[in-house]
This record gives sequence, structure tokens and C-alpha cells, in this order.
Amino acid sequence: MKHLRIHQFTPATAVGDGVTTGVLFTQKLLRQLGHHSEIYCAHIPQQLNQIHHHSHFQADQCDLLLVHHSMGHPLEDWILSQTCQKALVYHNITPSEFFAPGSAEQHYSEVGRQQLKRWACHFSGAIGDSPYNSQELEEASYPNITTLPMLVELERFAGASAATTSLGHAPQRPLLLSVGRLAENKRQHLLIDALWHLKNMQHTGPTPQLLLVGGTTSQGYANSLHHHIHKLGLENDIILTGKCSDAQLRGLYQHASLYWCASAHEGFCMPLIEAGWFNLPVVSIASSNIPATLGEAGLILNNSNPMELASVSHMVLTDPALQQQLIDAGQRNLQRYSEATLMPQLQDYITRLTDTTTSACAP
Amino acid sequence: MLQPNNPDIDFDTLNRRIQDQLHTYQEQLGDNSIPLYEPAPEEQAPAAPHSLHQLYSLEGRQFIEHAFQTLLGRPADPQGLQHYLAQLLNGEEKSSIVAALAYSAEGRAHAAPTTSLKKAAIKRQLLRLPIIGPLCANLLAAGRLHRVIHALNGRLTRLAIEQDNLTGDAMVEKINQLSTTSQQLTKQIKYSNEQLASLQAQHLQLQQQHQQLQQQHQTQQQYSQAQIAQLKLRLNDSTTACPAPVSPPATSNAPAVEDALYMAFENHFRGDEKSIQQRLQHYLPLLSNNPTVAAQQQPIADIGCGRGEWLDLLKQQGYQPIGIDLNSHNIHSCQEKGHQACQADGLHWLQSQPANSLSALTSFHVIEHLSFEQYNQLLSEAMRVLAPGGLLILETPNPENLVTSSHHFYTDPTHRHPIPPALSEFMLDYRGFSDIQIHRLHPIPEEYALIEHGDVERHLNRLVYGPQDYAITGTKPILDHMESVK
Repeated sequence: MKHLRIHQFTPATAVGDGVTTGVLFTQKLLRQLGHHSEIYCAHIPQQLNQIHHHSHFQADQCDLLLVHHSMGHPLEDWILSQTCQKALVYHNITPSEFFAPGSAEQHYSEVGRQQLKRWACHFSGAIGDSPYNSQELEEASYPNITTLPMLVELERFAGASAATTSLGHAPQRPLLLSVGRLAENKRQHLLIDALWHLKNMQHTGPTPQLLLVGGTTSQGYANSLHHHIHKLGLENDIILTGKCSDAQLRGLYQHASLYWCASAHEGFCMPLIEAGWFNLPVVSIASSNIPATLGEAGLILNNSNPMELASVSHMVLTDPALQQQLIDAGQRNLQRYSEATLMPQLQDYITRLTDTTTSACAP
Repeated sequence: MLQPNNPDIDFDTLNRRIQDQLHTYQEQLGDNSIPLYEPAPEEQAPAAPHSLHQLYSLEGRQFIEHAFQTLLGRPADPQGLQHYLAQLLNGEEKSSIVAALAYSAEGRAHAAPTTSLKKAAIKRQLLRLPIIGPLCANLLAAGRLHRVIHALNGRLTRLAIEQDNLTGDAMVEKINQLSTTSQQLTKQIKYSNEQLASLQAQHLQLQQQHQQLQQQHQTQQQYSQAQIAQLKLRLNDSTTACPAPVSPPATSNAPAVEDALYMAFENHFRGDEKSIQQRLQHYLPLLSNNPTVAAQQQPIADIGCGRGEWLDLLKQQGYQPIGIDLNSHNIHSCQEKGHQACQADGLHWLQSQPANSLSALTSFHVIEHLSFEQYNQLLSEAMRVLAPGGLLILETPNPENLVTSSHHFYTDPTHRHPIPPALSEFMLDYRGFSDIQIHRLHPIPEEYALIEHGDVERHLNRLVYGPQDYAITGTKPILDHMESVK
């Protein structure tokens, strides 16, 4: 096998960020395949000092540059001026309508989608990290598209867990968990409604408790959630924990009885994979990439009715055989994201791509 | 309804069950419908600042967003926002961030920076220099104090203005907010108190457990001390040749059970005392023909004396043997028969003996329980402790017999591995023993063997029905320099 110099570029990196995690994981896979691989970036936090500033990148010392795209940014000229062969790695961009009007996020979401379309002829290939993302690449006319969910080292989920009672979780109550920032597109209000129904459906045993884990990116939405919880009288049943540590999160996954997701848009949705890793059954509403991420795992509702979400959840919580089927399916689903599965696929793609001549944009 | 995605699950049945459940639930719910979710009105974005001074008055995210807008003429991209927000939280000065943005390629292209920004940009560069950077930081800090006071004054003024602006409805709203916060805090305190009470109860319980364990420990200690004292007395009574045991005496229930188990095992598999004594007769001529042993100036020691069959035989012949064994039951049994015996690890016992103090050292079916290191150490100590001309006898299962080495050897779970005669011979030779002899013993009685018609039967008889044990014997040379052999 030919050993190549395959480097990656991403506009910004941050510790714990989903795209950064994927970039580091991809580097590991490339190095395991015997390729020389470095990461270049414009914003590098101190903790990630193994990443190089993009000004040090030399196109003539690179056989293939993987450019990660997940949001619009002002480094378009730099990317397009690199003369080496390039492939885009697309992680999806949250649609602009999910951001507050006039906000920077809304602006860069729109810019990101325009860039995605403009860049197609400059790249000789593109990798979608989910079928949903690959479909968007096809619509934007990228050549040589493949789907490779190079997102996370599954072993990363392993580690010590911390007690969850400090977050307000009552150990004797069944714990329903949902992880994600408090924002309109995550639709946590549907989960609040679902808990209200679930509580009314249940006539015996300790009532379930819902923990919504994640920081706030939309203060207005967070305020509305608090207001709604109060209106439904669920103050003792729902906790908005804010951000919590990895160890606490592991503790929550381990103690939870069910994972909930009502998100309207997910480019991938890593918590669904984490739930699988921790043998936690999932009930989710079908949207964007969620069915593709879950594969055979979890139960997927084809509508956004909280009453149905509650009913399905009640069924799972009271049916141990169904729980086991969901746990088994979650474990099977993990295989698709393992190094053993991804490495040969990645190598095949690299071989195919580097044998292809670079696409050229029309003058 | 659920989307079918898993062949293991019958989705038709599951969806039907869910429908039924929903039907029942809706009937139960009746008119009691869920209150509707109402989104809160959107927050209004603050107006853009008109001057740098106004920009500096903003905080956190708002500051970064407006800095991008003012200096680069565009909204902050998420990565940039995250990057500079982190810098701000880490204590980076606002002027420094403004300078970084204004002096970036994009910033220069957008607008010419002001003099104050130039200064901030130079300072930022200066502070990043190695060695000089920290020095400059100290100098700048000294000159900055009055400005810090000024900035604090400014902040105080802003707070005062904010307070003045809080009138009427705004004040009521603020009070309501504070009241909600206070309620939440009260709840948290209540929860914390409950947690504290639970932890205190756990602490008390652990303290009680600790006390109980301490008492148990004291009782055990007293019992152990009494046992040790008793054993010491017994040992002093018997002989000084048997030092205080290195291994702890069996005082708890667990080792006593183990000793009893091994003794029962030996009784079951090794044969009765009479047949063993018959086998051991083989060695008596070796002793009587050895001048050092025959002189009887030093005792004979038997490591792993077991139930004392060999000690019995030696005593009958007029020798004064000492038995050493780890098993408390064996030692007790030997002492009851009037033998001098001590419970100790054989190697430790040998190490505690003076040089040239034994006329013979014997050990039957012990070396196969030892590691190679221990076997080597045993031979080394034997060479030291035996008197010149003294005799060493070691008996062990013979791996030349295939049934012994592949089957019978493993009947004793404490056996390590068979030791081929050639290895023993090499080891004794290496340690400096002379007159080394291999004694192949205890073949299967001839009536069980194959009738020999040729080489095949003869070979098979040797391999399958041949001697089941062997002994290796050697004497310590009567040479002074051998004392220094390693």
C-alpha cells in the first residue's frame, strides 16, 4: 500500500467539540493506515497543541487535503488557493431558520451553505459523515461522494463516572435523559409535554424524572422551557442541569432508564451513539439524520406528538424484553462506527480518490 | 407511529399496543388537556456602539459580537466568537482583543486603526515574547493600577446609572425575579440539608463498624499472641535446633482447614505408613555406609517430614532426626510420637541453621513443590549446612515414566512441574556435590507389564511401567574450599 501525506484542515478547533473530535479520530485512522497526517487550523486552543496553524501548511508537501465543513467562515480564499488535491468532509450545517434572526449564527449558516455549493468544482471528492449529509453533497454536485462516519473513538466513552445525585437526580426514580444545548431546534418543550403525559399514564411505582443536560444557547427558549415546566407543575420532575462534566454525563448514561430525543435537526447526533454504548434504550422522533444515525437501534416515531412519545416510552419502561431488544440493537449499531469497520472503507476511498484526476471549475 | 427499523421487533404488534394504550389514555384524560407551550418573546439585540469607548463598556459575548461588527464590518463567526470569548474569560484585556481584530488582515482591510489600538497591538506582541514578555507584564501592571481604579470607578458609575433606571415595573420585575431565585435557593438548601443528614447517618454507621472491627482486631491479636507464646514455650522445651517459626502459626480457621485438607489428601493418595516405611528402607544402607552420618556427631534433618514415617525409621536405627514441615497437623502428629519437629518453611529453617551442622539432609517428595529458584536455593543451603562428607537425599516423582509425568504427578494440585533426573544431576554437580547417584525406584510390579517379545514391549514397559520415583543422592566433599562454593 502506498503511504501518502494526507492532511486535514478545519477552520476552528475546540476541546470536546464534535467536529474536532472527528478530525482527531480521522487523523488516528489515517496514521494507523500508515499515512503521514497532520491537522491545520486557524483557531487552536492551548490544550490542542498537536494541531498546526494553517499558515504553516504547504500544499506541495500534501497529497490530499481533507477540508472539514460545518459552518460558514471567512477562510474560503485560503482553502481555494491550495493547489493540492482536496476532498471535503461535510458534517452538516444547522439550517439558518433555527437561529435567531439577525444573529451571527444565522448569517454564517447561510454563508456555509453558499460555500458548500460554490466549492463543489474545486474538490475531487467529498465525504459525508452520514447518508443525510452525503445526500446534500450530491445535491451540490460534488464528485466521488462516500459516506464514512469518522466521528468518534468509541473508547472515548469509557472512563470513570461521577455520582449523579449532585445534579438533582433521585436514584429511586426512573431517569429519562436527553443531552443537547437548550435551543429551539432541539425542541425540549416536546419532551416536557411527553413527561407530563407519561406521568399521567403511569399509575404505579416511582414517577420518572427527566434530566435535560446541556448549556443554553438560546436564553429566550430556556426561559420559555422554565415557564412551561412551571405551568405543567413539573418542577419536581424535570431538571435543567446546564453543562456537566464528562464523568457526570457517564454517570447519567449509566443510571438512566431511557434516552429521549425530539430534535428537529441533527447532522449526526452523537448522544444517540453514546446511549448505545451505555446500553441505554432510545426513543426518538424521526428527523434529519436521526434515523440514519440510529440504524436498527432505538424506536423512531414518525411524528412529533408528545403523547405518542410518552406512550412508546411507557411501553419500553414496562417491557423488559423490548428493552433488551433495543439494547442489543444499540450494540449492533456501534459496529458501524468502529475503527475496524471504518479503516478498510477509508483506505478504499483514498485509493479511489488519489487515482482520480482533480476536478476543475469552469472558467 | 413507529418506523420499522429493526427486524427483531414486531412493529405491527407494537404499534397496535401503542394505539390501544393511547386510546385508553385519551379516555382517561377526558377534557383535562395539557396546557399549551408558549414561546417567550424574542430578545431584542442591543444597538451597535458608536465609539470604542462605548464598545469597551459592553461585556462578554455582546462585546465580542460588537467588536467584530465594528472592526471587521461583519457578524462574528461562531469559531471566532468562541475563540475570543475564551480569551476574554481567561483574563485577556478587551483592548488587546480589539487590537488583534483591528490588526488582522481582515481588520486592516476594513478600517484604519486608532492610536490607542496601535499601542494595544504593540503591547500584545511584546507580552508574547519569551523572557521579555513576563518582565514587561510586571512593568505594565505597576503602571496600570491607577487605570484599574479608574475602570472600577467607571463600572460603579454604570451600576449606579443602572440602579437609577430601575423604576416602576422594571423594579417589580426585578423583585419577582429575585423572589423566584430565593425560592429556588431555599429548595436547594433544603435538598442539601437532606443530603447532609443522610451523609451524617452514613458517617455514624461507618464509625460504629470501625469500632466493631477494631474490637475484633484486638481479640484476634490477643489470641495470636497467646498462640505464639505457647508455641515458643513448646519449641524451647524441645530443642534450640528448631528456631522460632518463620511462617505464622495457624491461628485462624482458614489455614487450619487447608492443613487438614492437605493431610487428608496425603492420607488418601500416598499410601499407609507401613508401605511407606518399606519403601524408605532403601535409604538405610546409604546412611550406614556414610562415615559422617555413621559418626552421629550431627543430627539428620528431614524437610517435609509429613506424618513422620522416615523419622520413625531413623529413630529405630538409633539416629537423632529433626523433622521440619509447614503443616501444623503433621508437626503435631510427629511431636506426639516423641519426635523433635518444628513447623517452618524448610528453606527458612535451613537458612537459620549454622554451617556444617547436619550429618544428612533428606527430603522426600518436596522438590516438585518448589520453583526452580527455590530448588536452587535449597541445594545451596544444603551444601552450606551439611557437615563435610554429609549426605543429601532428595526423592521426587520420576518423569521418565510417562504415566507418572502425564497423570499421577498432577493428582497433587500443589505440584509445580516434574523434574527430570538429568536436571537434578546437573544441579547437584553444579552446586559441588560429589558421589552423585540416581536411584530409580518403585517400578510398577512386573505382573502389570507387557510380556516382552522384542524392543517395542521393552521400550513400552520402561516408559509406562518403569520406576515411578527417583532419588538423587550426593555428598558434600571433605574439602575446605567447598565452603565458598556459590
